[in-house]
Amino acid sequence: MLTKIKFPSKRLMLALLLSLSSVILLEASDFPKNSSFLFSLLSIFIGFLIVGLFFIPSAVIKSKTDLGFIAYANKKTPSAVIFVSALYCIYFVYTAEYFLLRYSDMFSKRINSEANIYAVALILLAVAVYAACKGANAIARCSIFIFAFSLVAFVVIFSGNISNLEINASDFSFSGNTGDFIYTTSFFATPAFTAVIFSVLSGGIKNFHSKQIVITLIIGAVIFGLFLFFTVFALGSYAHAQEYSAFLLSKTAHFESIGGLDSFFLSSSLLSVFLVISLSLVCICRCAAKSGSLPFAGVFALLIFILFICSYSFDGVKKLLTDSYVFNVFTFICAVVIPVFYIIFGRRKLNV
Amino acid sequence: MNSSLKCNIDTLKNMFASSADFTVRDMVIPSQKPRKAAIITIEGMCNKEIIALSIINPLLAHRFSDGSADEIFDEIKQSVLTSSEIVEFNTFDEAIMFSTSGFAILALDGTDRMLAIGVQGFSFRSVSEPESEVVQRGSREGFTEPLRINMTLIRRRIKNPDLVFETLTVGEESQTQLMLCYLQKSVSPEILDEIRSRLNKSNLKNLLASGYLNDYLEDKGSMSIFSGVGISERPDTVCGKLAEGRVAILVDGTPAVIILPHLFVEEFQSVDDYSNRPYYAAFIRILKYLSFVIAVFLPGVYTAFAQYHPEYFPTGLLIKTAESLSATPLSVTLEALIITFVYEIMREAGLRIPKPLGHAVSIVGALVIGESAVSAGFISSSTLMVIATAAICSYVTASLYPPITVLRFSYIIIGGIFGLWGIVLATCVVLINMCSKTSLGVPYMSSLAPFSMRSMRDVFIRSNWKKLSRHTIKVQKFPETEDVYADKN
Repeated sequence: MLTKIKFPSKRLMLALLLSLSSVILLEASDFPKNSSFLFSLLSIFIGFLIVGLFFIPSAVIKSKTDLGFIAYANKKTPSAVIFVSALYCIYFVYTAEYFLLRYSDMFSKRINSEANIYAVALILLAVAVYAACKGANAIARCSIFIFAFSLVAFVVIFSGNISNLEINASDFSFSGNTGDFIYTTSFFATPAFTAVIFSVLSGGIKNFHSKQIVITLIIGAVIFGLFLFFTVFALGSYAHAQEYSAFLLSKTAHFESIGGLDSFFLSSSLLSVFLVISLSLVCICRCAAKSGSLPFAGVFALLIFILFICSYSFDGVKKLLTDSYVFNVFTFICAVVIPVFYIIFGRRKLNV
Repeated sequence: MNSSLKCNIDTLKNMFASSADFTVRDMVIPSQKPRKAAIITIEGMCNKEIIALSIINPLLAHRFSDGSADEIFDEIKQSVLTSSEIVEFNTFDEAIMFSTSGFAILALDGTDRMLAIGVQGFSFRSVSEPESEVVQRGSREGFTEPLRINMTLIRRRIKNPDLVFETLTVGEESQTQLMLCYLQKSVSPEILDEIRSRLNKSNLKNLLASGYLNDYLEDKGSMSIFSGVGISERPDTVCGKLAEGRVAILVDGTPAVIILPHLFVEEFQSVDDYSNRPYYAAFIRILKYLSFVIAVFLPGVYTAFAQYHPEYFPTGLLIKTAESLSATPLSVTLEALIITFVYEIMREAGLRIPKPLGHAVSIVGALVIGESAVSAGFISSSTLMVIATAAICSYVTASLYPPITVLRFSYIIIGGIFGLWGIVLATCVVLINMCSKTSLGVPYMSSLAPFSMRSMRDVFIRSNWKKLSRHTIKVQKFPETEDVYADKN
């Protein structure tokens, strides 16, 4: 019953905001290190501008037809929708795999190197399958609690680092090369995967306004900017030599003798990855028009797990699945190319 | 029914299998042509004094006109009996229903009709303060077992013709009477129909307590350790809920009244909140939420920290905890599990044994097991303190005790095996489960998720009565409730 009713779009936006924060929480060596602070801020701005552009086609479809992209495609080309759905299913498998691999990397490198990474992935996937069976609405409701926790976690991490801040005027210079700029902008455009999730789930939401996307992206950009600010000014050159700068930020946070605030960071990153994977599974179910189907979500989770095992067995597979360039290109195809094609094709068909 | 009195009585005797409490008082109606009659009762269910005064005496004293059995029957019904409650019927099923409900059955030879006369006089527990819902400043009255008395307790508080009691019978064998109670103008017809339909579909043979109905009243696909069915023994609580559009189900023979729909935030509300000053009520509310979190998470998080993340303890606390844990032979997870398990045994024993022995159990538990186990080095004092704190916190929201206990055990095991990571993931499962649960279509986590700013005035804080009374939020108006029914229609 719950899977069928429409829920407020604000809640989906909240879930997407938390999902996109996983990009910054799980960053390994992608974070800008050679560029100046202002230069990196510009990258964030451009990156989120690109993310915003990725949202436009699905927002147009939602506003004009009140349908999600898959339902829209089904309406326009019932015979071809199976191929589109299959492509989107592959995309969401890729998305889930991308974040699962990044999380498991962070887990083995920073949390517990002795833990069985396969067990970690399997349990995480099992929980995500359960969530996917309950539907997008339940996950979106759950994101309210995750948001409350993440808000506390971020406030604790940032305020715990205030005493470490050392602001240098030289960091405000506008310096950096084009290669770095493209690299960092590409990294900051990774949250565009939320546009694809939105395009599939937008059929199940109500009270949608385009400004909600803008607000979500602004908040997302502010979060990224804050992480960047504290990484540059609280960690300084120490961050340049290390992977997982955002995680280090939580390690250095302290209130007098009270430390160990990285537990907040680890919990937030786990929660955001959980949201991404479960929303991806929900999208897969939606693409196959099997909302809340346990066997269906389970089969795809198994597929993700098999890919996960392959990634750890073959380096090439892992490299391909965690490459942000490939991920962004794939996102571009699913969020922009196909929906725009359908919008143009749909109009022509209507005119005929 | 037959017109022969003997035949009717024999049939009833057979139906009651000549039960020892089935009593028949034969008599003769004094008229020109004396007619045989009988008063059928179930021993212990009727007041003998009232039978003598309102049935036997008037019958024997009255001078009946000469007429047919039916004419005499009508005369008895209209001008002889002095009881205020007289019902005419003509089936054996009704005869059984009335007699087992404490009515006296008057049967007259020559007619196939009978009279049920209200002379109930069974003994029952008087109205007293419910032990499970003690309040400081509210009413001291609590529901009791007989249905009619419970109805009176509600009616006395809501002197409004909108208040409706609707009778239903559930239990193929027990034929237990239920009362659906609601305010006609406040209740949602869809919710009411859904409750009726679920009760009618129940296939219970015997309904001996209101708890039997929980499984039938829970929403399908809402399997959870949290209950979507509310219970209260307080008439003032039930009346408050009725005003918000909820439905109460009174079950004959049970003081626990079912309230539907039931939400998570209601577990933290009590009558005292509305009698105390708003600032103090808000403080108590926040205290209750914190207690719930501590009761559920503290032992699990402690286990996870002590076993996998000792660096999260502040240095001073870490030294003390490490000292305490190093002196014991068991792992911290096993220790926490054993202490929680022993505590649950003592709690269960304390509940079931006679009250005078309860103190002995407390002393044995606190001094012998607790103190001695720590001094003998079996368990660490820090673990004992953590479990004891969680146990005390779980009593702050007593109605949530069952889920708290199960979650506490689960979190200790999960924290012991997977550490903090496992606890976070398990919390995701619990949250998803709670967020997807509905109670008669109303989201169980309403006010929080779906978030409703309007209802926040009575969730973490309790606004003052000027604000609260300005607008009562009906339960069917909670976000996404109407959508569910619209979707069904």
